[in-house]
This record gives sequence, C-alpha cells and structure tokens, in this order.
Amino acid sequence: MHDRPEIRFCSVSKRFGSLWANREISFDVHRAEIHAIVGENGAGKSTLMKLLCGHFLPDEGFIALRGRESRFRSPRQAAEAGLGLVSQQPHTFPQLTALENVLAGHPPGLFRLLRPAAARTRVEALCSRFGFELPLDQRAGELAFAHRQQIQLLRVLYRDASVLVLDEPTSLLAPPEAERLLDLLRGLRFKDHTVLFVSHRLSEVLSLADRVSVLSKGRCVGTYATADVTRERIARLIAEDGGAVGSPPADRAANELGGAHAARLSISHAPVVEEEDRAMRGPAPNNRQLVSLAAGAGTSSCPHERSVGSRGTRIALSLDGVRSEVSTDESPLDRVSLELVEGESFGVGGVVGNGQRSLARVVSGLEAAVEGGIHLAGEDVTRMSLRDRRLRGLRWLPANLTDEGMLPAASLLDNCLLGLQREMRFQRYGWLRSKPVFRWASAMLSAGDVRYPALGYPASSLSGGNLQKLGLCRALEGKPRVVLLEQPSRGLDLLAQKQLRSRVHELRAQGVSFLVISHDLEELFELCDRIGVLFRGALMGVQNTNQARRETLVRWMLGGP
Amino acid sequence: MSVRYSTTSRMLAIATGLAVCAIIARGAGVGPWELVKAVIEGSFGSPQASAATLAKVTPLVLNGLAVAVAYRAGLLNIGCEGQMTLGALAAASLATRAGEWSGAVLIPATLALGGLIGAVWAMPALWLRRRKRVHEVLTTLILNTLALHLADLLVVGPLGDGTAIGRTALVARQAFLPSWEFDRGAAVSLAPLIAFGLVVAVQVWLERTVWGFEVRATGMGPLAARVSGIEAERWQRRVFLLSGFIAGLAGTLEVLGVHHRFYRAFSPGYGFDGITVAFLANGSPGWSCVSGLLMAMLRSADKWLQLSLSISPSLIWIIQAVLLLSVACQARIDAVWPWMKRVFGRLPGGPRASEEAQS
Repeated sequence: MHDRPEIRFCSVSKRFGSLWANREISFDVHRAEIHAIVGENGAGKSTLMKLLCGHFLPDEGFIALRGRESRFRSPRQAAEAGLGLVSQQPHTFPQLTALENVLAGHPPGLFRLLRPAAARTRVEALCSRFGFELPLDQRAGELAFAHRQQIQLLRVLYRDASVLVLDEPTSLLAPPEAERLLDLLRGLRFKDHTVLFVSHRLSEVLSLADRVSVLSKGRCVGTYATADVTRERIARLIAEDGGAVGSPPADRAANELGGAHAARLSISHAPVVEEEDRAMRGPAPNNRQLVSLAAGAGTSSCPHERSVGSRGTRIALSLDGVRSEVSTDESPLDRVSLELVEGESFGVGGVVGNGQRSLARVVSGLEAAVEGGIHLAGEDVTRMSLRDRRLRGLRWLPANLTDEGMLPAASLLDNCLLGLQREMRFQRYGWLRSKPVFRWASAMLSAGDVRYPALGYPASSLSGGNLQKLGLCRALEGKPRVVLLEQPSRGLDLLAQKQLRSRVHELRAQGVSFLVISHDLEELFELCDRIGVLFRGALMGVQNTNQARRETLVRWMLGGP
Repeated sequence: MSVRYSTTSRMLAIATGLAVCAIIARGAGVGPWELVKAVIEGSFGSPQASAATLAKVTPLVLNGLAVAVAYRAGLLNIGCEGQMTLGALAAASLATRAGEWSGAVLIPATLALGGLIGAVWAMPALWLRRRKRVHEVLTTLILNTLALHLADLLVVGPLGDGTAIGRTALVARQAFLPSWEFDRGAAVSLAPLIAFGLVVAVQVWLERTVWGFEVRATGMGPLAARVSGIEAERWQRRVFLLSGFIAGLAGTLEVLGVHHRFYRAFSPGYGFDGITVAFLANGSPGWSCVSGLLMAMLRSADKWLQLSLSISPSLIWIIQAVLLLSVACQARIDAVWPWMKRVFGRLPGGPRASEEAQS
C-alpha cells in the first residue's frame, strides 16, 4: 500500500530575509496516513504547510505530490490538485454568509452559476454528519472564531480534497468538538484521504497520528511512528535544539514558585467551596448591597475589605446576575454570577458559541451588561467604560488577537506600547519618551521569549505563537489586578505554555486574579483553581480543579445536569 | 516580505512610470530631459514663476495635510474643497468688515474664524456617520457641492460687494499677510511658512506624543485601539474636526495672502488635489510638504510648457497622471532618497531608520 509516498518533501528550504524558516526538510507522507507535525513556535511548521499548499514556492528543494514534482504558483492550483488547507488564522470573507464562504473558490456549475439549493443540501449534510452547529445564513464577520474555522474545514471537505492539511485545527475547540473532529479525521483516513496536521497537543498527536515529524528551528529532526515513541521523547526532541537554552531557568522558576503557590492554595481552598455554592445559587443580594454601599461611601480608592464568613480574603472581581445583550454570533449571558478572590484563577469552559465571548466583552467593558452588576475590587464598574476599567487594573487578552489586540501594520514597538502609552514611565508632559519605551519593549520581548527580527518591523511579520506571546507579555505588564485571558495558550508551544503557567503562578502569588476563558479543558485544569462551564450563556456549575471530574465538565458543556 | 524586495518593487514602479512618461513626451516630439527642464524652469525659472509656485504651495500642502491627518485616524475627508471655500468666504467677510481692528488682532481672528467654519462644515459628516452610519466619503462629497453653491449664493447676495461679478470687497489693508517682494511683481507672503510650520507641528504631534500615538493606533486598528482602552471614536471625531479646520485655514490663507478677497469659483480644485497630495505622501503629514511642492510645480509650469515646448496642457496632465499612477503602485519616495527620511520623518508603515541600523 505504501509503495509510493503521497507527498515527499525533498530538502525543502525557504528563507525570509536572513531567517531560514525551513532548512533542508525531507520526509515522506504516505497515502491514507495521518501525519502529525510538531515543533516549537517559529519552528517553521506553518511555513512548511503554506509551501505545500502553494502560498509560496520553496527557495531550494522540491515537494512531490504522488510522485510528481509540484510547483504550485497559487493556492488555487494546489486546491485543484486535491490539497485543502485549514490555516491557523481562519481566512473568511466577513461580508459573505457562512454558506457563501464555504462555497467560495469552489468551481461553479453549468454556465458558471452557483447552485445554491443543491450546494446548501450538501453543506447541511456535511454539517450534520460532523456535528457542526454552524448558522449558514449568518455573515462570517459576525460568527465566533471557531465557527470561522469550521467554515474553512467545510470548504475543504466540500471540495472533497484528497489531502487535508490542518494547521492547529483543535486549538479553538472544546473537548467534545475536538473529539468529533479527531473522529472525523480518523474516518477520512479510512476513505483513503491523507491528513497532515500541525499540533501542540502531544496527547492528541499520539492518539490520532500514525507518524509524527518533529521540526526544530526550521529543520526536520526526525520522523517517527507514534507506536514507537513516547510523549516524553517527542517533547525532548522538540526542546532539544531551540528550547534547551531557555528552559532551565524557567523550570527553576516554576519549581520555586510552585512551592510558594502550593502553600497559598492550601490556605485559600477551604473557603472556595463555600464560594462555589454561592456562585451556583445565583446572585447574592446582601453582598451586592454591601458592595455598592461601600463603593458609594467613597472607599473605592483603597481596596475593599470584606469579611464573609471566616474568610478574610478580598474579592477582586464579582459578577452578580449579569445578562448581556442578544448578539448575533452566540448566546447572550444568562444571569451569570461568579466571584474571584485576589490571587485566584477561575476558568470558564464550554463549547464555542455558548457565551464565552459575551462574558469577555461584558467583563472587559467592550459591551455593556443589560442587567446585573460587575464589581472590580469592591468598586461598581458596571457602567464604566473599558478605559476606566483598565485604569482600575483590569487587563484583557482577547481571543482574536490580530483583530482585537494588535495593529498588524504598525511596528512591534507600537504594538508593545498599545494600551500602556499613558503610563507615566513612558511619557513626559504628553511626549512619548522613545528611549525608555525602546528599552522596556526589548526587555519585555526577550523576557517573554518572543522571537522577532527588530522592533521596527510590523507585527504581521511575527508567527502566530510569537504574536500570542507578545499579547500575553503586554497583558501581564504593569500592575494588573484582574487579568482576563481568552484562549491564552493558543498557538503556544510546550515551552511557552510552561512559561505562561509559571508567570501566572508568580503573579497570583502577588495577588493578581485571573479569569481564564478557554475551549481547552487541559489548559483550564493547568491554570485554574476552579472551573465553571457556560452553556447557552448560563453558568452550569463550578468545580474545584483538584476535585473536578472531566466527565462532569464535559456533560455540563453539552447541557447535561 | 523582505524589505529589499519591496524597495526594488517601488523603484521598478517609478522607473516604469518615468519610462512611460518619456515615451509619451517623445510622441509629442519632446525629449524627456527637455520636459523636466521645462517644468523646473516654469516653476522656479524666474522670480515671478517662483512667486506663483509658492502661492500654490500653501493650499496644496494644507489640503494634503487635512486629508492625511484624517486618514491617519482612519477617516477619509473628501470634503476639503467645500470646507476650504466656506472658510475662505467667512474669512473674507470678517476681514472686509472689521476695518477698525488692528492687524495683530484681525489676522489671528480671521484665521481662527476661517478654520472654525471649515471644521463646522465637517460636522454634519461626523453626525451622520455616528447616528445614521453614513460613510464620510459620501457625506463630505455631497457637502462639497452644497458648500460651493452656498458660497455662490452668498457672494452674489448679502456678502458680496454689490457688483454682479460675484465677489466680496477687498479685505482691510491691515489684514494682508506680511509679504516680501523679492523682485518686481514677485512677492511671497507668510502663508507658505505658516503651512510648513503647521505640517511640522502636526507631524511631530502624531509621531512623538501620547495623543498622536492614540490617533495612529485608531487609524491602524479601531477595534484593537478600543480594546486597549483608547477612545477611538472620540479621537476620530476630534481629528476629523482638525482636518476641517486645516482645510478652512487653507482657504483663509489664500484670501489673506494671495487674493485679498473672495470671488466665485474660488478654488481651482485645491481641495481635490489635496487628496492626491496626501496619497502621494502615503498619508504622512510630513511628506505632504514634498508632494505638495511637486504638485505646485507641475501646476504652475503648465503655461510655460505650452509656451516653451508648444505642447498642449492636456499632455502635461496626462504625464502627471501617469506619474501619480506609478507612485500609487506602492512606490514610495522615501525608498528612492533615504536621506529625505531624516528631514521629513518616516513614512508610516516602514521601519524606523534608527532601528534599521540596529537590526
């Protein structure tokens, strides 16, 4: 069966400026195989996928498809040859509906007309077969990020591509959805499709893929059958070249802080259970009165001290029965109540479109709550603008970083400064002090292990993972009080995820609270003390991480009791 | 994309444009070098020509600045023509009626009024954008027509000098901008100096201050700016009013420095040329000086070209348009002459000189 490789990479090299993104990469992908590609951020995975799919041509070497050298001049030619790419950043037309987006680029029928009715039935059939709940008539610009990724996937499936190339397909999916996607890929393999996918989740790679190729700093370190290697060995291979330099200090930091953190947790866990009950019961009118009274009395300048029961910890963020406006892309919040103690980390999970985005928008202040109250360190911020909440120490790392958190055309320096430009250390009487900003930005980026060419380059020159690192650095910079992280590990490699964890623990030891919104349960388990699940905009329940059961959370995600 | 690649592509665009221009000129029987020489002679060949060119620089540079500054905040102000015309009319009306005021009061007051009226004429566009979500290109374009006809109506009627020509009376003598007559019949007023000063001020404000940073962020990504706590809509409103103010100022300086009165069909399309000037400068206020000067040279040389080379003025416009097209193909003048960056500041988008050196 494996006589001739479906795809053969033959010492493929690609250079951007002075940087080799890919260097003499050679490996084969067999027909009807699921082949995983793993590696650090910036190891050249996405570049390799784009080379394969005709986004650009290799500088040296060649790629052979079914034994013939392929020199695709455009993604269209690659698509015609049966390659389908689902990229990391969903490329959709915001003005077109989801259905039109799926059909975009597809060869039209007789007389060059699209046949919407027939196409619709086919797309609907695909949706129901793979369990996508995609509103087909909604404009893509109004859809949630993960829905846009489904559009891309449908585009490829609709075209019946024989080779599927997926760049981190599960990074935005909740476990039930991710599981469905993996099943889908397994099913496709049996139908003689070849699947090539990039992932940072090693468990996923090992359970799904037949073989795995490891990239490091643009080179291919090796290709292994997943049956023959262990998770640890792959992790070591990934880190061997590029990661080894940076990892020991990070490890040490994590260990040191891990100890301190454990001590903290043992103190804070007892009251947490009590709080969980309250959160589940809904708004607590007494507390709310107390808080608004205190805020009205002008104690807002000093952090508000509360003694609830036996606990002396201070509430950093509280939501009381918050409802949000009905939006087009997902469920509005339905009386969500939760409380975060200082130094605590609360995770919110759920299937895409169940109100996570609404929660982030309402808490950050981008969108106003229709009902209910939001308090930040005891102060009522329900009617406050995003800017005023920011000034009170609320930070937000949005999920759709390129649109919501970055200026892709602006320099990296400007992007580092974005949102922090008014801080006194960066200005003097309204004039930006370029030298301190420059020094600070270089220090921040090197501390965050962001790989960048120079500060003057546009942000669009960074790889997805490095951009995410920059966003994280910036969100945690300064003196945050409550940090709202949406999909924080999206696109991050294992080392960067580890660094993120240690940084979060470090800040929590200083009393910073985190509200983590993620589709990835593993991520929530690693970062949070408590995990709640949103379903149709309502908080289904909250569990302590150390007592949490995966099954219960997944059941909640699907609307079960 | 590597820097080197994009630089070569820009050079290619300019070279292509020049080559096409040379072919067109050759077709009309004129060598390319002759043409360039004639343009320079026509614009700066004599004191009178220099004076005429410098007089055209002010409205072109200021309108370019007005468009560029709005563009930096992410808005397109196509309404400079109208804002400039009404600003000029208001300025002329004040300066003709306030005969007893001293120059030191009258000139600043007139400038302020002219600018203010320009800003006021930008307001409906803002209001409609905010309340009714009408795009500002549409509204400012329509407001232009409205402004031109309103000015006609007023200058023939209540604000005119009573003649049927459609003009205001001459402004008070002390409202004339101080000017320097460097040759017989060739004088240059303070207006170009004011224009250049304003360009520098706006450029520095945008590039070096916190507020300027917020404006630039708003222009590059309104949503990202909002998420970062920048009041994007408010900045857009403010900067749009500033843009109208600058356009109004362009008209006022034209009245006080050049014509000393307002007349019908006051602007020969300076407001629209401002759009060209701004885009030639890639939306950078600083570079509007250079592109404004270039446009002024081409504009004031057309008669000379007709006289000396006896080619039709249409041909000059064609050549100009070809050049503009080639420049619009991502060709950026700072890539051709890097030293200009130090003088006029960085064009938005590219790496800064200091960081290029470091990398």
